[in-house]
Amino acid sequence: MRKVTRKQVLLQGSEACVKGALMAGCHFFAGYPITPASEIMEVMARELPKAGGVFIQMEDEIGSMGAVIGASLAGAKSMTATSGPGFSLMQENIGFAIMTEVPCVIVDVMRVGPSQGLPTQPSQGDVMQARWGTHGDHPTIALAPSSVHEFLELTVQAFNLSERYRTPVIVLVDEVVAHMREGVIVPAKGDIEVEERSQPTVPPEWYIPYGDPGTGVPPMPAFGEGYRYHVTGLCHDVQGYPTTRKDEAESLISRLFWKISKDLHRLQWLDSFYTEDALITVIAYGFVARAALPAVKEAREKGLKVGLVKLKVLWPFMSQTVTKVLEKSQKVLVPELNIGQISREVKRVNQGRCEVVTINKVDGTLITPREILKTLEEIHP
Amino acid sequence: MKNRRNFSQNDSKYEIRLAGSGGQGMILAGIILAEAAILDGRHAAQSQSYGPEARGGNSVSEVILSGREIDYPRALELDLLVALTQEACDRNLPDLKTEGLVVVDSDLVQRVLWGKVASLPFRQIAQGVGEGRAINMAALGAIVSFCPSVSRSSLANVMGKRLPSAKLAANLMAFDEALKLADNLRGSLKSVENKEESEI
Repeated sequence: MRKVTRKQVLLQGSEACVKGALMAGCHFFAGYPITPASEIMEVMARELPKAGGVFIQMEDEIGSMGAVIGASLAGAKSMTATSGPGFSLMQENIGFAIMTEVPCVIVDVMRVGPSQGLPTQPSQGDVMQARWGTHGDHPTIALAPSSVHEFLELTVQAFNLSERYRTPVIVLVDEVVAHMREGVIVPAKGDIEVEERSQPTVPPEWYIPYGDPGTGVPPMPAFGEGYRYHVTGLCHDVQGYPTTRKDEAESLISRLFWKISKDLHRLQWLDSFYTEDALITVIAYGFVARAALPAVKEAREKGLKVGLVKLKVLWPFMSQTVTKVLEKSQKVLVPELNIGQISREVKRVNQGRCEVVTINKVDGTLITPREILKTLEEIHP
Repeated sequence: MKNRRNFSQNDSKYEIRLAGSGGQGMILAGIILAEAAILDGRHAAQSQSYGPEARGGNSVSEVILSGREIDYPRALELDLLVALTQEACDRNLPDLKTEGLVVVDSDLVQRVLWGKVASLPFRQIAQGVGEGRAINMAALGAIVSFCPSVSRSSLANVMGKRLPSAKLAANLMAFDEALKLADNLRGSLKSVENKEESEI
Protein backbone atom coordinates (compact mmCIF):
# COMPACT_ATOMS: atom_id res chain seq x y z
CA MET A 1 0.00 0.00 0.00
CA ARG A 2 1.26 3.45 -0.86
CA LYS A 3 1.66 5.66 2.13
CA VAL A 4 1.25 9.34 1.46
CA THR A 5 2.84 11.69 3.94
CA ARG A 6 1.02 14.96 3.81
CA LYS A 7 2.99 18.14 4.33
CA GLN A 8 2.29 20.92 6.78
CA VAL A 9 0.89 24.10 5.33
CA LEU A 10 0.67 27.46 7.06
CA LEU A 11 -3.00 28.32 7.51
CA GLN A 12 -4.80 31.10 9.29
CA GLY A 13 -7.53 29.91 11.67
CA SER A 14 -10.16 31.49 9.44
CA GLU A 15 -8.78 29.71 6.37
CA ALA A 16 -8.81 26.42 8.25
CA CYS A 17 -12.45 27.01 9.17
CA VAL A 18 -13.35 27.50 5.52
CA LYS A 19 -11.40 24.38 4.52
CA GLY A 20 -13.30 22.41 7.16
CA ALA A 21 -16.64 23.79 6.00
CA LEU A 22 -15.94 22.89 2.38
CA MET A 23 -14.79 19.40 3.34
CA ALA A 24 -18.03 18.95 5.27
CA GLY A 25 -19.97 19.87 2.14
CA CYS A 26 -20.95 23.48 2.92
CA HIS A 27 -22.80 24.80 -0.11
CA PHE A 28 -24.15 28.15 1.06
CA PHE A 29 -22.74 31.07 3.04
CA ALA A 30 -24.56 34.28 3.93
CA GLY A 31 -22.99 36.87 6.15
CA TYR A 32 -22.21 40.45 6.98
CA PRO A 33 -18.60 41.50 7.58
CA ILE A 34 -17.46 42.17 11.14
CA THR A 35 -14.09 42.21 12.87
CA PRO A 36 -12.66 39.71 13.84
CA ALA A 37 -14.75 37.31 11.72
CA SER A 38 -14.42 39.03 8.31
CA GLU A 39 -11.56 36.82 7.13
CA ILE A 40 -13.83 33.76 7.16
CA MET A 41 -16.24 35.60 4.88
CA GLU A 42 -13.45 36.86 2.62
CA VAL A 43 -12.01 33.40 2.11
CA MET A 44 -15.50 31.95 1.64
CA ALA A 45 -16.31 34.55 -1.03
CA ARG A 46 -13.26 33.34 -2.93
CA GLU A 47 -13.43 29.59 -2.34
CA LEU A 48 -17.14 28.71 -2.13
CA PRO A 49 -18.07 29.60 -5.74
CA LYS A 50 -15.10 27.51 -6.96
CA ALA A 51 -16.64 24.55 -5.14
CA GLY A 52 -19.98 25.19 -6.84
CA GLY A 53 -21.57 26.83 -3.80
CA VAL A 54 -23.34 30.13 -3.31
CA PHE A 55 -22.01 33.11 -1.36
CA ILE A 56 -24.16 36.12 -0.47
CA GLN A 57 -23.26 39.24 1.45
CA MET A 58 -26.51 40.23 3.14
CA GLU A 59 -27.72 43.60 4.40
CA ASP A 60 -27.14 42.62 8.03
CA GLU A 61 -26.87 39.67 10.38
CA ILE A 62 -30.63 39.24 10.75
CA GLY A 63 -30.90 38.75 7.00
CA SER A 64 -27.80 36.52 6.99
CA MET A 65 -29.32 34.10 9.45
CA GLY A 66 -32.63 34.15 7.54
CA ALA A 67 -30.85 33.33 4.28
CA VAL A 68 -28.90 30.51 5.95
CA ILE A 69 -32.13 28.95 7.22
CA GLY A 70 -33.81 29.28 3.82
CA ALA A 71 -30.88 27.70 1.98
CA SER A 72 -30.76 24.83 4.44
CA LEU A 73 -34.49 24.16 4.01
CA ALA A 74 -33.79 24.01 0.29
CA GLY A 75 -31.24 21.27 0.94
CA ALA A 76 -27.89 23.07 1.12
CA LYS A 77 -25.52 22.73 4.05
CA SER A 78 -25.34 26.34 5.17
CA MET A 79 -23.29 28.54 7.44
CA THR A 80 -22.53 32.06 8.56
CA ALA A 81 -19.75 33.68 10.57
CA THR A 82 -19.93 36.70 12.81
CA SER A 83 -18.77 38.25 16.07
CA GLY A 84 -20.56 39.29 19.28
CA PRO A 85 -22.65 42.22 18.00
CA GLY A 86 -23.75 40.28 14.91
CA PHE A 87 -24.33 37.15 16.97
CA SER A 88 -26.77 39.18 19.09
CA LEU A 89 -28.71 40.13 15.96
CA MET A 90 -28.88 36.50 14.85
CA GLN A 91 -30.41 35.22 18.06
CA GLU A 92 -34.07 35.46 17.05
CA ASN A 93 -33.52 33.46 13.87
CA ILE A 94 -31.28 30.96 15.69
CA GLY A 95 -34.28 30.26 17.91
CA PHE A 96 -36.40 29.83 14.78
CA ALA A 97 -33.87 27.30 13.41
CA ILE A 98 -33.92 25.38 16.69
CA MET A 99 -37.73 25.28 16.74
CA THR A 100 -38.11 24.38 13.06
CA GLU A 101 -35.13 21.98 13.24
CA VAL A 102 -33.12 23.47 10.42
CA PRO A 103 -29.45 22.37 10.38
CA CYS A 104 -26.92 25.21 10.08
CA VAL A 105 -23.54 26.29 11.43
CA ILE A 106 -22.84 29.66 13.06
CA VAL A 107 -19.23 30.61 13.74
CA ASP A 108 -18.88 33.29 16.41
CA VAL A 109 -15.38 34.75 16.57
CA MET A 110 -15.59 36.27 20.03
CA ARG A 111 -14.40 39.80 20.78
CA VAL A 112 -14.62 41.79 23.99
CA GLY A 113 -18.12 43.07 24.75
CA PRO A 114 -20.68 44.18 25.68
CA SER A 115 -21.81 46.15 22.62
CA GLN A 116 -18.97 47.11 20.22
CA GLY A 117 -16.44 46.52 23.02
CA LEU A 118 -12.91 45.86 21.80
CA PRO A 119 -13.32 44.75 18.17
CA THR A 120 -9.80 43.44 17.64
CA GLN A 121 -9.17 41.86 21.01
CA PRO A 122 -9.78 38.35 22.33
CA SER A 123 -12.53 37.30 24.72
CA GLN A 124 -14.58 34.28 25.68
CA GLY A 125 -17.53 36.41 26.67
CA ASP A 126 -20.16 34.81 24.41
CA VAL A 127 -20.29 31.39 26.08
CA MET A 128 -23.56 32.16 27.83
CA GLN A 129 -24.92 34.06 24.83
CA ALA A 130 -24.42 30.90 22.80
CA ARG A 131 -26.36 29.00 25.45
CA TRP A 132 -29.16 31.42 26.29
CA GLY A 133 -29.00 34.12 23.61
CA THR A 134 -32.32 33.17 22.11
CA HIS A 135 -35.41 33.07 24.27
CA GLY A 136 -37.27 30.08 25.62
CA ASP A 137 -36.07 26.70 26.82
CA HIS A 138 -33.99 25.13 24.10
CA PRO A 139 -30.99 22.86 23.61
CA THR A 140 -27.70 24.26 22.31
CA ILE A 141 -24.64 22.69 20.76
CA ALA A 142 -21.47 24.79 20.88
CA LEU A 143 -17.88 23.73 20.14
CA ALA A 144 -14.65 25.54 21.09
CA PRO A 145 -11.43 25.02 19.08
CA SER A 146 -8.06 25.88 20.63
CA SER A 147 -5.80 25.71 17.58
CA VAL A 148 -5.89 26.26 13.84
CA HIS A 149 -5.98 22.50 13.29
CA GLU A 150 -8.87 22.09 15.74
CA PHE A 151 -10.77 24.93 14.09
CA LEU A 152 -10.75 22.90 10.87
CA GLU A 153 -11.67 19.67 12.61
CA LEU A 154 -14.46 21.15 14.76
CA THR A 155 -15.99 23.03 11.83
CA VAL A 156 -16.40 19.67 10.08
CA GLN A 157 -17.89 18.25 13.29
CA ALA A 158 -20.21 21.27 13.63
CA PHE A 159 -21.73 20.42 10.24
CA ASN A 160 -21.96 16.75 11.16
CA LEU A 161 -23.72 17.40 14.45
CA SER A 162 -26.04 19.93 12.88
CA GLU A 163 -27.07 17.46 10.17
CA ARG A 164 -27.31 14.56 12.61
CA TYR A 165 -29.53 16.39 15.10
CA ARG A 166 -31.20 18.91 12.76
CA THR A 167 -30.22 21.85 14.92
CA PRO A 168 -28.02 24.94 14.66
CA VAL A 169 -24.46 24.32 15.88
CA ILE A 170 -22.32 27.18 17.12
CA VAL A 171 -18.53 27.28 16.86
CA LEU A 172 -17.27 29.62 19.57
CA VAL A 173 -13.78 30.65 18.68
CA ASP A 174 -11.35 33.07 20.29
CA GLU A 175 -10.13 35.97 18.15
CA VAL A 176 -6.55 34.68 18.50
CA VAL A 177 -7.42 31.25 17.14
CA ALA A 178 -9.22 32.77 14.14
CA HIS A 179 -6.38 35.16 13.34
CA MET A 180 -3.24 33.18 14.10
CA ARG A 181 -1.45 31.01 11.60
CA GLU A 182 -0.04 27.58 12.35
CA GLY A 183 1.33 24.69 10.39
CA VAL A 184 -1.52 22.28 9.70
CA ILE A 185 -1.58 18.91 8.03
CA VAL A 186 -4.80 19.18 6.07
CA PRO A 187 -6.60 15.83 6.15
CA ALA A 188 -7.45 14.14 2.87
CA LYS A 189 -11.11 14.15 1.88
CA GLY A 190 -11.39 10.43 2.44
CA ASP A 191 -10.00 10.70 5.97
CA ILE A 192 -12.93 12.80 7.12
CA GLU A 193 -16.30 11.39 7.99
CA VAL A 194 -19.11 13.54 6.64
CA GLU A 195 -22.71 13.08 7.80
CA GLU A 196 -25.84 13.95 5.83
CA ARG A 197 -29.35 14.69 7.08
CA SER A 198 -31.64 11.67 6.95
CA GLN A 199 -34.12 11.54 4.08
CA PRO A 200 -37.72 10.29 4.08
CA THR A 201 -38.18 6.75 2.80
CA VAL A 202 -41.93 7.18 2.26
CA PRO A 203 -43.72 8.88 -0.64
CA PRO A 204 -44.63 12.59 -0.16
CA GLU A 205 -48.26 11.92 0.76
CA TRP A 206 -47.19 9.71 3.69
CA TYR A 207 -44.51 12.07 4.96
CA ILE A 208 -44.96 13.33 8.55
CA PRO A 209 -42.55 16.27 8.77
CA TYR A 210 -42.25 16.48 12.55
CA GLY A 211 -42.90 12.88 13.55
CA ASP A 212 -40.36 11.04 15.68
CA PRO A 213 -38.85 8.08 13.83
CA GLY A 214 -37.38 6.81 17.13
CA THR A 215 -34.18 8.81 17.04
CA GLY A 216 -35.92 12.08 17.90
CA VAL A 217 -34.76 13.48 14.55
CA PRO A 218 -37.35 13.54 11.72
CA PRO A 219 -36.08 12.97 8.17
CA MET A 220 -35.70 16.21 6.19
CA PRO A 221 -36.32 16.42 2.45
CA ALA A 222 -35.29 19.53 0.55
CA PHE A 223 -37.92 22.05 -0.49
CA GLY A 224 -38.89 21.46 -4.09
CA GLU A 225 -38.52 17.71 -4.00
CA GLY A 226 -42.26 17.23 -3.72
CA TYR A 227 -42.52 16.89 0.03
CA ARG A 228 -44.80 19.84 0.92
CA TYR A 229 -44.89 20.81 4.55
CA HIS A 230 -45.44 23.82 6.77
CA VAL A 231 -42.56 25.45 8.66
CA THR A 232 -43.39 27.67 11.62
CA GLY A 233 -41.72 28.97 14.75
CA LEU A 234 -44.99 28.49 16.58
CA CYS A 235 -45.42 25.30 18.54
CA HIS A 236 -46.51 22.81 15.90
CA ASP A 237 -48.00 19.35 15.63
CA VAL A 238 -46.30 16.50 13.81
CA GLN A 239 -47.68 17.82 10.50
CA GLY A 240 -46.00 21.18 11.12
CA TYR A 241 -49.18 23.17 11.75
CA PRO A 242 -49.55 25.56 14.71
CA THR A 243 -51.04 24.06 17.82
CA THR A 244 -51.87 25.14 21.36
CA ARG A 245 -52.62 21.64 22.59
CA LYS A 246 -50.57 21.08 25.71
CA ASP A 247 -49.67 17.48 24.86
CA GLU A 248 -48.39 18.51 21.43
CA ALA A 249 -46.42 21.49 22.74
CA GLU A 250 -44.89 19.41 25.51
CA SER A 251 -43.90 16.53 23.27
CA LEU A 252 -42.35 18.88 20.68
CA ILE A 253 -40.17 20.74 23.16
CA SER A 254 -39.10 17.64 25.05
CA ARG A 255 -38.19 15.95 21.77
CA LEU A 256 -36.00 18.95 20.85
CA PHE A 257 -34.04 18.34 24.06
CA TRP A 258 -34.14 14.55 24.01
CA LYS A 259 -32.76 14.15 20.49
CA ILE A 260 -29.48 15.62 21.80
CA SER A 261 -29.47 14.68 25.49
CA LYS A 262 -29.89 10.96 24.70
CA ASP A 263 -26.44 11.17 23.07
CA LEU A 264 -24.65 13.20 25.78
CA HIS A 265 -22.11 10.40 26.27
CA ARG A 266 -21.14 10.80 22.59
CA LEU A 267 -20.46 14.50 23.08
CA GLN A 268 -17.73 14.31 25.75
CA TRP A 269 -14.91 15.61 23.55
CA LEU A 270 -11.81 16.47 25.49
CA ASP A 271 -8.04 16.25 25.63
CA SER A 272 -6.54 15.48 29.00
CA PHE A 273 -2.96 15.88 30.17
CA TYR A 274 -1.40 14.51 33.40
CA THR A 275 -4.81 14.01 35.02
CA GLU A 276 -4.20 10.52 36.51
CA ASP A 277 -2.79 11.62 39.87
CA ALA A 278 -3.60 15.33 39.73
CA LEU A 279 -4.55 17.07 42.96
CA ILE A 280 -5.42 20.19 41.01
CA THR A 281 -7.00 19.97 37.58
CA VAL A 282 -7.18 22.93 35.24
CA ILE A 283 -10.37 22.99 33.17
CA ALA A 284 -9.92 25.22 30.14
CA TYR A 285 -11.12 25.67 26.57
CA GLY A 286 -10.20 27.63 23.48
CA PHE A 287 -6.97 29.58 23.43
CA VAL A 288 -6.71 29.65 27.22
CA ALA A 289 -6.14 25.88 27.14
CA ARG A 290 -3.01 26.62 25.07
CA ALA A 291 -1.71 28.82 27.90
CA ALA A 292 -2.67 26.22 30.50
CA LEU A 293 -0.65 23.38 28.92
CA PRO A 294 2.85 24.90 29.29
CA ALA A 295 1.86 26.09 32.78
CA VAL A 296 0.86 22.55 33.78
CA LYS A 297 4.03 21.08 32.22
CA GLU A 298 6.21 23.54 34.12
CA ALA A 299 4.33 22.90 37.35
CA ARG A 300 4.90 19.15 36.88
CA GLU A 301 8.62 19.82 36.45
CA LYS A 302 8.48 21.61 39.80
CA GLY A 303 6.88 18.54 41.35
CA LEU A 304 3.32 19.84 41.61
CA LYS A 305 0.59 17.29 40.97
CA VAL A 306 -1.50 19.18 38.45
CA GLY A 307 -3.33 18.21 35.28
CA LEU A 308 -5.34 19.75 32.47
CA VAL A 309 -8.66 18.92 30.88
CA LYS A 310 -9.37 20.78 27.67
CA LEU A 311 -13.06 20.93 26.78
CA LYS A 312 -13.90 20.92 23.07
CA VAL A 313 -17.67 20.90 23.58
CA LEU A 314 -19.05 23.75 25.69
CA TRP A 315 -22.77 23.03 25.16
CA PRO A 316 -24.34 20.74 26.09
CA PHE A 317 -22.07 21.12 29.11
CA MET A 318 -19.83 18.07 29.51
CA SER A 319 -21.08 17.29 33.00
CA GLN A 320 -20.10 13.60 32.79
CA THR A 321 -16.47 14.49 32.16
CA VAL A 322 -16.39 17.35 34.63
CA THR A 323 -18.02 15.26 37.38
CA LYS A 324 -15.22 12.70 37.02
CA VAL A 325 -12.63 15.46 37.30
CA LEU A 326 -14.34 16.91 40.37
CA GLU A 327 -14.47 13.50 42.03
CA LYS A 328 -10.74 12.90 41.55
CA SER A 329 -9.25 16.33 42.22
CA GLN A 330 -8.98 18.33 45.42
CA LYS A 331 -9.24 21.63 43.58
CA VAL A 332 -10.03 22.74 40.06
CA LEU A 333 -8.80 25.90 38.38
CA VAL A 334 -10.93 27.43 35.61
CA PRO A 335 -9.13 30.23 33.72
CA GLU A 336 -11.36 32.12 31.28
CA LEU A 337 -11.39 35.33 29.25
CA ASN A 338 -14.65 36.39 30.86
CA ILE A 339 -16.03 37.09 34.29
CA GLY A 340 -16.74 33.38 34.92
CA GLN A 341 -19.08 31.66 32.49
CA ILE A 342 -17.91 28.04 32.27
CA SER A 343 -16.71 28.18 35.89
CA ARG A 344 -20.35 28.86 36.76
CA GLU A 345 -21.28 25.54 35.14
CA VAL A 346 -18.39 23.78 36.86
CA LYS A 347 -19.63 25.09 40.21
CA ARG A 348 -23.17 23.96 39.38
CA VAL A 349 -22.00 20.42 38.66
CA ASN A 350 -19.55 20.48 41.59
CA GLN A 351 -22.16 20.59 44.37
CA GLY A 352 -19.51 21.32 46.98
CA ARG A 353 -17.22 18.38 46.11
CA CYS A 354 -14.04 20.42 45.70
CA GLU A 355 -12.74 23.95 45.68
CA VAL A 356 -13.27 25.82 42.40
CA VAL A 357 -10.71 28.58 41.76
CA THR A 358 -10.97 30.92 38.77
CA ILE A 359 -8.77 33.30 36.79
CA ASN A 360 -10.83 35.85 34.90
CA LYS A 361 -9.85 38.58 32.46
CA VAL A 362 -12.00 41.01 30.51
CA ASP A 363 -9.40 43.63 29.54
CA GLY A 364 -8.69 42.35 26.04
CA THR A 365 -5.36 40.76 26.99
CA LEU A 366 -4.65 37.06 27.18
CA ILE A 367 -4.19 34.88 30.24
CA THR A 368 -0.51 33.88 30.12
CA PRO A 369 1.08 30.56 31.11
CA ARG A 370 2.92 32.45 33.86
CA GLU A 371 -0.31 33.66 35.45
CA ILE A 372 -1.76 30.15 35.46
CA LEU A 373 1.46 28.70 36.89
CA LYS A 374 1.51 31.33 39.64
CA THR A 375 -2.04 30.47 40.69
CA LEU A 376 -1.27 26.75 40.59
CA GLU A 377 1.69 27.31 42.91
CA GLU A 378 -0.43 29.39 45.27
CA ILE A 379 -3.29 26.92 45.57
CA HIS A 380 -1.31 23.65 45.49
CA PRO A 381 -1.92 21.77 48.73
CA MET B 1 25.35 33.50 0.43
CA LYS B 2 24.65 30.00 -0.91
CA ASN B 3 26.25 28.23 2.02
CA ARG B 4 24.37 29.99 4.76
CA ARG B 5 22.10 27.04 5.63
CA ASN B 6 23.96 26.67 8.86
CA PHE B 7 20.94 27.02 11.11
CA SER B 8 20.86 24.36 13.75
CA GLN B 9 17.94 21.95 13.82
CA ASN B 10 17.67 22.34 17.53
CA ASP B 11 14.46 21.95 19.47
CA SER B 12 14.57 25.23 21.30
CA LYS B 13 11.98 27.89 20.78
CA TYR B 14 12.89 31.12 19.02
CA GLU B 15 10.53 34.05 19.52
CA ILE B 16 10.39 37.00 17.15
CA ARG B 17 8.21 40.08 17.26
CA LEU B 18 7.88 42.50 14.36
CA ALA B 19 6.50 45.81 15.52
CA GLY B 20 5.66 48.92 13.59
CA SER B 21 2.70 50.97 12.53
CA GLY B 22 -0.23 49.78 10.45
CA GLY B 23 0.66 49.74 6.74
CA GLN B 24 4.35 48.94 7.19
CA GLY B 25 3.70 45.30 6.34
CA MET B 26 4.66 43.76 9.67
CA ILE B 27 1.94 41.12 9.48
CA LEU B 28 2.88 40.06 5.94
CA ALA B 29 6.54 39.83 6.99
CA GLY B 30 5.51 37.58 9.88
CA ILE B 31 3.45 35.33 7.61
CA ILE B 32 6.34 34.96 5.14
CA LEU B 33 8.74 34.17 7.98
CA ALA B 34 6.44 31.51 9.45
CA GLU B 35 5.76 29.92 6.09
CA ALA B 36 9.49 29.79 5.28
CA ALA B 37 10.19 28.10 8.61
CA ILE B 38 7.59 25.44 7.81
CA LEU B 39 9.29 24.86 4.45
CA ASP B 40 12.50 24.32 6.43
CA GLY B 41 10.71 21.57 8.34
CA ARG B 42 10.22 23.48 11.56
CA HIS B 43 7.08 24.23 13.53
CA ALA B 44 5.87 27.79 13.32
CA ALA B 45 3.05 29.93 14.66
CA GLN B 46 2.30 33.47 13.58
CA SER B 47 -0.09 35.77 15.37
CA GLN B 48 -0.84 39.45 15.36
CA SER B 49 -2.42 42.27 17.23
CA TYR B 50 -3.55 45.60 15.94
CA GLY B 51 -5.96 48.41 16.65
CA PRO B 52 -9.29 49.07 14.93
CA GLU B 53 -7.75 51.50 12.41
CA ALA B 54 -6.77 50.33 8.90
CA ARG B 55 -3.65 52.51 8.65
CA GLY B 56 -1.46 53.87 11.45
CA GLY B 57 -1.80 52.65 15.00
CA ASN B 58 0.37 49.94 16.45
CA SER B 59 0.77 46.79 14.45
CA VAL B 60 2.50 43.78 15.91
CA SER B 61 3.20 40.41 14.36
CA GLU B 62 4.72 37.54 16.31
CA VAL B 63 6.41 34.44 15.01
CA ILE B 64 7.33 31.49 17.20
CA LEU B 65 9.72 28.96 15.67
CA SER B 66 10.48 25.60 17.19
CA GLY B 67 11.73 22.13 16.39
CA ARG B 68 8.82 20.73 18.39
CA GLU B 69 5.09 21.24 18.40
CA ILE B 70 4.27 24.63 19.86
CA ASP B 71 2.10 24.52 22.99
CA TYR B 72 1.69 28.25 23.45
CA PRO B 73 1.86 30.16 20.16
CA ARG B 74 2.49 33.62 21.62
CA ALA B 75 5.79 35.16 22.70
CA LEU B 76 6.74 34.96 26.36
CA GLU B 77 10.33 36.21 26.18
CA LEU B 78 11.48 37.59 22.88
CA ASP B 79 14.75 36.46 21.31
CA LEU B 80 14.47 39.08 18.60
CA LEU B 81 12.52 42.31 18.31
CA VAL B 82 12.29 44.21 15.05
CA ALA B 83 10.97 47.74 15.59
CA LEU B 84 10.24 50.13 12.76
CA THR B 85 8.86 53.04 14.77
CA GLN B 86 10.07 54.70 17.95
CA GLU B 87 6.82 53.87 19.71
CA ALA B 88 6.98 50.22 18.63
CA CYS B 89 10.49 50.04 20.03
CA ASP B 90 9.66 51.66 23.36
CA ARG B 91 6.52 49.60 23.90
CA ASN B 92 8.03 46.22 23.13
CA LEU B 93 11.50 46.40 24.68
CA PRO B 94 10.28 45.15 28.08
CA ASP B 95 9.30 41.80 26.51
CA LEU B 96 12.84 40.96 25.36
CA LYS B 97 14.83 38.33 27.20
CA THR B 98 18.02 39.61 28.82
CA GLU B 99 20.29 38.49 25.99
CA GLY B 100 17.72 39.37 23.31
CA LEU B 101 18.50 41.45 20.22
CA VAL B 102 16.71 44.56 18.95
CA VAL B 103 16.81 45.35 15.25
CA VAL B 104 15.66 48.86 14.38
CA ASP B 105 15.46 51.17 11.41
CA SER B 106 18.25 53.70 11.81
CA ASP B 107 16.10 56.64 10.60
CA LEU B 108 12.79 55.84 12.25
CA VAL B 109 14.12 54.75 15.62
CA GLN B 110 16.60 57.14 17.19
CA ARG B 111 16.68 55.99 20.78
CA VAL B 112 17.05 52.40 21.94
CA LEU B 113 17.40 51.77 25.64
CA TRP B 114 18.87 48.31 25.21
CA GLY B 115 22.28 46.65 25.13
CA LYS B 116 22.29 44.49 22.01
CA VAL B 117 21.09 46.63 19.12
CA ALA B 118 21.42 46.39 15.36
CA SER B 119 20.44 49.64 13.72
CA LEU B 120 20.09 49.30 9.96
CA PRO B 121 18.79 51.68 7.26
CA PHE B 122 15.82 49.59 6.11
CA ARG B 123 13.82 52.57 4.85
CA GLN B 124 16.78 53.90 2.87
CA ILE B 125 17.42 50.45 1.42
CA ALA B 126 13.77 50.20 0.33
CA GLN B 127 13.82 53.66 -1.21
CA GLY B 128 17.14 52.80 -2.87
CA VAL B 129 15.57 49.92 -4.79
CA GLY B 130 12.70 52.18 -5.81
CA GLU B 131 10.05 50.44 -3.71
CA GLY B 132 9.45 52.23 -0.41
CA ARG B 133 7.06 49.54 0.73
CA ALA B 134 9.85 46.94 0.67
CA ILE B 135 10.88 48.11 4.15
CA ASN B 136 9.33 44.97 5.66
CA MET B 137 11.24 42.66 3.32
CA ALA B 138 14.46 44.53 4.12
CA ALA B 139 13.77 43.82 7.79
CA LEU B 140 13.27 40.14 6.92
CA GLY B 141 16.69 40.12 5.27
CA ALA B 142 18.25 41.20 8.56
CA ILE B 143 16.36 38.50 10.44
CA VAL B 144 17.98 35.80 8.26
CA SER B 145 21.34 37.01 9.45
CA PHE B 146 20.47 37.08 13.16
CA CYS B 147 17.98 34.23 13.58
CA PRO B 148 19.39 30.70 13.52
CA SER B 149 16.10 29.06 12.56
CA VAL B 150 15.32 30.30 9.08
CA SER B 151 17.09 30.06 5.74
CA ARG B 152 17.44 32.64 2.99
CA SER B 153 16.39 30.21 0.28
CA SER B 154 13.06 29.34 1.91
CA LEU B 155 12.29 32.98 2.61
CA ALA B 156 13.03 33.97 -0.96
CA ASN B 157 10.89 31.07 -2.12
CA VAL B 158 7.90 32.18 -0.03
CA MET B 159 8.38 35.83 -1.06
CA GLY B 160 8.01 34.62 -4.63
CA LYS B 161 4.66 33.09 -3.73
CA ARG B 162 3.28 35.84 -1.52
CA LEU B 163 4.41 39.06 -3.23
CA PRO B 164 3.01 40.52 -6.47
CA SER B 165 5.35 39.38 -9.26
CA ALA B 166 5.93 42.93 -10.51
CA LYS B 167 7.31 43.92 -7.11
CA LEU B 168 9.30 40.76 -6.39
CA ALA B 169 12.64 41.80 -7.88
CA ALA B 170 12.78 45.09 -5.96
CA ASN B 171 11.74 43.38 -2.76
CA LEU B 172 14.39 40.68 -3.16
CA MET B 173 17.02 43.37 -3.77
CA ALA B 174 16.04 45.17 -0.57
CA PHE B 175 15.99 41.82 1.25
CA ASP B 176 19.50 40.83 0.10
CA GLU B 177 20.91 44.30 0.65
CA ALA B 178 19.75 44.29 4.27
CA LEU B 179 20.95 40.73 4.72
CA LYS B 180 24.43 41.76 3.55
CA LEU B 181 24.55 44.77 5.85
CA ALA B 182 23.33 42.68 8.78
CA ASP B 183 25.98 40.02 8.09
CA ASN B 184 28.66 42.70 8.17
CA LEU B 185 27.27 44.09 11.38
CA ARG B 186 26.93 40.74 13.11
CA GLY B 187 30.62 40.47 13.92
CA SER B 188 30.72 43.98 15.34
CA LEU B 189 27.50 43.83 17.38
CA LYS B 190 29.55 44.22 20.52
CA SER B 191 30.93 47.58 19.44
CA VAL B 192 27.49 48.72 18.34
CA GLU B 193 26.37 47.86 21.82
CA ASN B 194 29.07 50.04 23.38
CA LYS B 195 28.40 52.91 21.03
CA GLU B 196 24.68 52.88 21.78
CA GLU B 197 25.39 52.78 25.46
CA SER B 198 27.72 55.72 25.33
CA GLU B 199 25.19 57.69 23.29
CA ILE B 200 22.60 57.13 25.98
